[in-house]
Amino acid sequence: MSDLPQPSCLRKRHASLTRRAVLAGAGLLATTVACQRQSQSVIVPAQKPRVTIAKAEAYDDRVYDIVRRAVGQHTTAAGGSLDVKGKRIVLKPNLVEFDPNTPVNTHPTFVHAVRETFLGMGAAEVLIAEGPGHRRDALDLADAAGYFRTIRGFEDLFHDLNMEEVTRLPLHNPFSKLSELYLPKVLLGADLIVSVAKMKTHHWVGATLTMKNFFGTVPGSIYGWPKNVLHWSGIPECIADLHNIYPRTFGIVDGIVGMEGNGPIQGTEKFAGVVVTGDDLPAVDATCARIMGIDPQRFPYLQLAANHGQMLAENVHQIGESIASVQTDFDLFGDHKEWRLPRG
Amino acid sequence: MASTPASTATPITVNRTIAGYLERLQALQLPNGSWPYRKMDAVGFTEATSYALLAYRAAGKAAPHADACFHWLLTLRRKSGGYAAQEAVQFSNWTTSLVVLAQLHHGRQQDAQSGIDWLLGTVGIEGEPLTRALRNVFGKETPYPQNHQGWPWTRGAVSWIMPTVLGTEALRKANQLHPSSDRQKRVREGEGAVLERRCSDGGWNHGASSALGVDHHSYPETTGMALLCLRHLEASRIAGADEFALSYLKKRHSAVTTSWLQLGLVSRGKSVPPLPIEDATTAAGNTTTKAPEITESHGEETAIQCRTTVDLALRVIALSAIQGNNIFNV
Repeated sequence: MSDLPQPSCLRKRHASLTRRAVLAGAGLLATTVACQRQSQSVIVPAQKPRVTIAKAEAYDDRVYDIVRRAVGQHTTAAGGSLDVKGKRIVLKPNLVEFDPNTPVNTHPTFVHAVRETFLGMGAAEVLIAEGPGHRRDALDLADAAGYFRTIRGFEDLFHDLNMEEVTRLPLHNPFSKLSELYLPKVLLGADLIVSVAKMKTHHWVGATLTMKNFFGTVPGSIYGWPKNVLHWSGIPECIADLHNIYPRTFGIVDGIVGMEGNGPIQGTEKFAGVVVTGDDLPAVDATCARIMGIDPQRFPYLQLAANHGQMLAENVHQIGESIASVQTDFDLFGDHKEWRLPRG
Repeated sequence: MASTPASTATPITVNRTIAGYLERLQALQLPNGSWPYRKMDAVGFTEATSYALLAYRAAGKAAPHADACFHWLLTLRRKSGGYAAQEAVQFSNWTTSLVVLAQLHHGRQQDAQSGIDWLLGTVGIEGEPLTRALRNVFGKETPYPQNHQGWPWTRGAVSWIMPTVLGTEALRKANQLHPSSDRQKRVREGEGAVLERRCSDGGWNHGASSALGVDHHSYPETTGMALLCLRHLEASRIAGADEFALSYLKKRHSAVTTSWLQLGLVSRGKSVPPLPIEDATTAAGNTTTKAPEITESHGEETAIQCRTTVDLALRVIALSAIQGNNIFNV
């Protein structure tokens, strides 16, 4: 049995769910997806989700210790739910463009720090996987973005999710118009998927953080570049569906240098100086939104997925730095300017 | 192994490079005749397999285990007549264009018919007659012109540059072999759809030329593909596009991007010298046709990396086009 964090529905109904069981059949997965679709009424659990905020000044050697400590706040030894000993972990960075000089990608040093952290915690294997939304050549993209230079043996560790063998998952009672999705086996067979997201504004959904990052798990060889079928099926709804599909996730946000304005590609650099971690992705994203000066309650995808009240700060167990100490307003794009978090 | 510095390519070194890429392709082929994307993959994929078959055709070589390979492809044909991207997938998608191209180039017209029919019956939803009629009735403005029918990645989505170019090329080849008015019409529509999505910077993005009132910037690979598709268009209708692509080609790009830029420019009759070639095999005194140590380079530390089947196949197709055997020369 996996003792990794799982959404409440899984804990209740599939306490014995294992990696092998996940791979065993789409039927069980279908049940998994169906059971997680809950009403939008908010039920605040007895134990609030834990989210850690840490300050980080630059992508240098200090990042390794900062990430290790921030993730360490969520281990079972620290009162959290994370125990990765002997487990197979897949890191999902946000890898978008070739240019290493823009804040569009999760920084390679940051990804390396995350990988080293999980290896240090006893993980059996820590793979890296991404399916870029626009560019066809993910390996070349990763090379240009500095991943090959920073992470030894990167090519052998990396899975291009656009071109992976897939399994069909029927979606029962989804938020979106989708009735099924084909998703990479390498993810569905993982003990833990870690969304290693970049803190960026997004011109369609407000911000791209740990949950929107999972759009990159939908294979382009099947759905195209970008994953246009997700746009036509409802972007917020698809974000919520993908969140439900992956039962064992952890979020780590590279908010050291983010992107503001017309993100996620054409925006401009924004220094925020933070690392945010947690095993409840809606809580992590809501916390990031507050740091960015955006009202998380305006995010349609959080309205669908944050059914434990994570959009409200009082429903999150905040660890480390306070939001006020790191809050910095990101420039917002178009109508999203109205999403500014009220102050005072 | 010692290597010589990258030097100006000659037809001989280009041929040796092609031979080296084909050798690597063959090493990747799976026992059932299909090709994976990468060595680590245990299964074949439609796109990779189709490109590999086209590479052998471009190089004028027989594809190894061709019968098994084409038989495998037929197992991915779905009820719709189109092809799925891999075995587990139940619906057809854009890879149908590549299968049709591979089948037609290898003389398998009968096999190709269902894919051709699928392509003729597939339209991006913005180009569907009902969508267009409603748009006209209600006078709804679109963010960019949508007067022509392109192809989507999957049915039920809008058109994008890559599937539209590949769909156009497949039907262009089909029309060359068996001309028909419906094939010719969709080729013209495909060209029109690509043309009307040109970005303000002179190249092509993946899809729309703008969104939310902001112009999109172009990408090199889609610009190369668009030029390939528009190769019969007079220069005045896409003024500056060739020069724009040539400027892209001077920068470092991936194997895929370099290939599409070269194919687009060569197809438009432009002179495109191959990249300098570093020939380690020659330096070691090996003069056989085995050339796995040959690399193409943009200059210092900028060698083209062929990491996937698609990389290798597209390099073969592009280099063959530069040598005068352009499979898109229809």
